[in-house]
Amino acid sequence: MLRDRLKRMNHLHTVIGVVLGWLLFTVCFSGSVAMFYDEMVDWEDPGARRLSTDVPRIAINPMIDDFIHRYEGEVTNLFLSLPGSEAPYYRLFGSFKTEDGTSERETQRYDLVTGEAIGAKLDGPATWLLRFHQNLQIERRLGRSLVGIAGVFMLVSLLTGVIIHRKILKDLYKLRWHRSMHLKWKDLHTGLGVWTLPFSITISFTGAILGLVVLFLPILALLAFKGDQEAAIQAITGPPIEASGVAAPMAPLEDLLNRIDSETPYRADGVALEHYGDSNARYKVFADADSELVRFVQVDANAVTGEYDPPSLLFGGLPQSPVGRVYAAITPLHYGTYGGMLLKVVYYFVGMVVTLSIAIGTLIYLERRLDGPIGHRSRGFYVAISRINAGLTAGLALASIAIFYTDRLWGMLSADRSYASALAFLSIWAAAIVWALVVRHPRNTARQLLAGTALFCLGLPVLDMATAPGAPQTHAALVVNAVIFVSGALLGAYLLVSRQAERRTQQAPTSALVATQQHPVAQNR
Amino acid sequence: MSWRGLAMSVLAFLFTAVLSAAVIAIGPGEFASRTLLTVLVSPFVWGLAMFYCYWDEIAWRPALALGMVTGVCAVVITVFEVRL
Repeated sequence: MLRDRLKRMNHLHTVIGVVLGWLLFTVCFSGSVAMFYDEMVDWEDPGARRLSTDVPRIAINPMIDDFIHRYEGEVTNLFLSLPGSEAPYYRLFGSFKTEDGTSERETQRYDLVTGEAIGAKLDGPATWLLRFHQNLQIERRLGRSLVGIAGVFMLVSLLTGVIIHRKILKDLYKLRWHRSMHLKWKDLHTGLGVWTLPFSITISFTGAILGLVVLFLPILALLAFKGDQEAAIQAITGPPIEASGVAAPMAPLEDLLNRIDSETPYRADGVALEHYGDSNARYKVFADADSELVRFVQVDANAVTGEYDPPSLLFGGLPQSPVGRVYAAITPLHYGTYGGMLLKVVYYFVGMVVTLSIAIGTLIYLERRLDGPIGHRSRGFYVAISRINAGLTAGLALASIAIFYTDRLWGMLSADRSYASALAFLSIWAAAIVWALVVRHPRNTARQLLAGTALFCLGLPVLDMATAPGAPQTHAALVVNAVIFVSGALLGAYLLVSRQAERRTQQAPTSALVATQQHPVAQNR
Repeated sequence: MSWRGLAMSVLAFLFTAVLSAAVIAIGPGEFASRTLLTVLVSPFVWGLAMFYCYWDEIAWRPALALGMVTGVCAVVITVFEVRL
């Protein structure tokens, strides 16, 4: 009975890996790269880099007035992002409702010293990779839901993986590197999976929550609130503050921010401006909470008087309860924002290990069907899947790094930088898959594509210095250059070592035969 | 993936969604907290429901159990008003 159950668990583990393996690989890989989103935004914009943003705050309200009058229509959402090491300028984001009822999203940057409007920064490869991780660059709700569903299935896969590996502690230290390819992959898959299990559970659970909220909220609203999604949100966050319709002068925002910086332990990072210019206007100041397990600390202030409430760890109207506190921890747990740069680096490398473990799981499945007795389909079918797998997985890595080159050499000059990133990414990825289908041996294809990835990684700091010679090497740019260089070096080293190990394995039967022939007993026969 | 597996996954999802809505409608505690708690546990509930479908050796038993609970929860949602 237990054997049957284990067999079914093994089947479920395999089925999830086969059906969702590529999706999980894509989400995990892009998520690991997107860990450095803020730093990559600074890296891809060398003209705006500044070594220090520690300058006195200038008058902010004139920038807001300029932004509101710059575009047509009624402003519905207004958010100000303050200068930081990753984005050394003021950024205003707003939604403008036009007369025909449509809403346009606009953004504008302002110089942190002069307050003058500067050209809008167009979304580059960093934003492409982040969106690709969050919603696969398809319709937001559908994309996020798919990623959330993948997170749930990953949780089930982890659970079944733990159940089917009966000697889990022993497997932690088992790696038969010089044995057959199957054993090597099996040991790697199990070992890496077990070592990263706490991280995998955290990431898949928090990712599932972040993705499923988009899917669950409309369903829950439909079932419990007869389809009224707004009512469902308001029931959780409380009723919104209504505008009075009476105009009022706004308190100087820079004074409020300076007071928050000096009187509280937090440093302001951004401000949501609600009903700006109205007597009921509110400044909702978001401050960095690097050492707290929350995304932001929120400080609410009266925008007319400039008086502020005590800081709250629960932003966005979350309830003051343990559940609200747990919910507030989901985003920082997923993105690793609560422990500084070192934690982000750890998240990145462990995330890559999880990605590798998923890829090896698919390889084990294919290898057992190509060279073993299992499998109901023809060998040609598995060969084709194996080739696509090589192009898809190694091609994703290649495309993710290559878009930084195409963006720096061509995309930054393009009128639609985001489109240029998309075009380059998808073209390179598709070309890698086609290449894998054309070339005979999938393992060689994967190796070639990964070698290209390693070379691109190693060359990224050179590209940065060569194409932007006068740009300062900020902390963020240095982190991106260093992490990607180290990734390239590690990948290159792995490729060399695995190649040597494979050669040794291929030579092993010949050596064994020679040894047997030289043995005295063998010679006497 | 077998059709049975896919059907079980969909049933497990329906079970999770309808159970969550029923808990949100009439569950104990403050409305906002119980809604957030429901969202927080939903991946586990869905995952465990799928797991249960594979764990039980008799295929129709989990389907019947999940279907029955889903039906009861659907009645709760239809009959009772949301307790804010």
